[in-house]
Amino acid sequence: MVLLNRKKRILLIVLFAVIAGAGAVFLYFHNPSEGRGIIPCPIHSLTGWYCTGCGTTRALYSILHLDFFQAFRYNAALCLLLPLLACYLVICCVQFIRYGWIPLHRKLSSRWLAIIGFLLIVFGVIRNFIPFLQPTVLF
Amino acid sequence: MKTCNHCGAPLAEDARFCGNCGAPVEIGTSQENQYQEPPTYEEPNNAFQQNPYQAPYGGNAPGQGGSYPQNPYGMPGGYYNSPQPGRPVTSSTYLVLSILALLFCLPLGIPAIIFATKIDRANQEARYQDAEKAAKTCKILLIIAGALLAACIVFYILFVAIFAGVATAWYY
Repeated sequence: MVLLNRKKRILLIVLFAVIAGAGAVFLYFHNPSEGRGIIPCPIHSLTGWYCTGCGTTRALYSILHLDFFQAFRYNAALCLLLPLLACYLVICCVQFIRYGWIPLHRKLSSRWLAIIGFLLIVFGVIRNFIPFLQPTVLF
Repeated sequence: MKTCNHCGAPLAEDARFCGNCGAPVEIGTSQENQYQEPPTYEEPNNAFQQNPYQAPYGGNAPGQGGSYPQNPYGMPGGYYNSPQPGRPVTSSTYLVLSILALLFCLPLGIPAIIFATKIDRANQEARYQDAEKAAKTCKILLIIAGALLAACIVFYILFVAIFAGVATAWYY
């Protein structure tokens, strides 16, 4: 089940990195809070309630501009999970290039992943009642 | 000389795992597979094709090998202890993807994560057919969520490109 040969795998990862980098550059120059934003939140548009992911774009924008406190106030869950996600992404890319598949998936503890998942759902619910967790602008 | 199917490194003849990347050599010999398939379970699959199929213990569809003559609990459906043949499904990919779906504001992330935990529970109880079913549902949910997200992006790009300047109260 070796996906493509090594060169093609490297090309694929490089392509992915280029697209991600282009997205980051675009986000750096376009503030989602003003002007035309990036992607709307379907749940908030339909129901008016905040969901787990509300504020992630603004939080990422703040992180790109190195304003971490503001990022935390936009979406606390993203700020806490971002280091883990970044490590996971890097390990996936490295292992994909080296082996063609990702052994990490067999070693990840699914109990912790499930706990994180349910905490995210809980976060999505309680942030509607706790103003500190709602996307707010700091001055 | 055998070679690893995953990374291509040469393997010893009696190797069960690749020394280079750790992939199992044969199907069913995964390290995480706590459930050792007893040899007798090879029989029922053949027997079903020869004998007329008796009504199974409730809960398992016909032809899935769910009816085992020695059910010590005597419970119909055998929910607690009816191991099914197959391989364990890796649930981490589904869990990570559904966590990402939640972080992306996708409403289908919630059922996706519920089914992803079902995969894991079915794995632990060695109900591999149920695990495959849950994995399939989870995959469909995630694909739909991803497709909706892509459609939203395309729609939004078109909306902005065609009707540039139209202000709508989008929240993100």
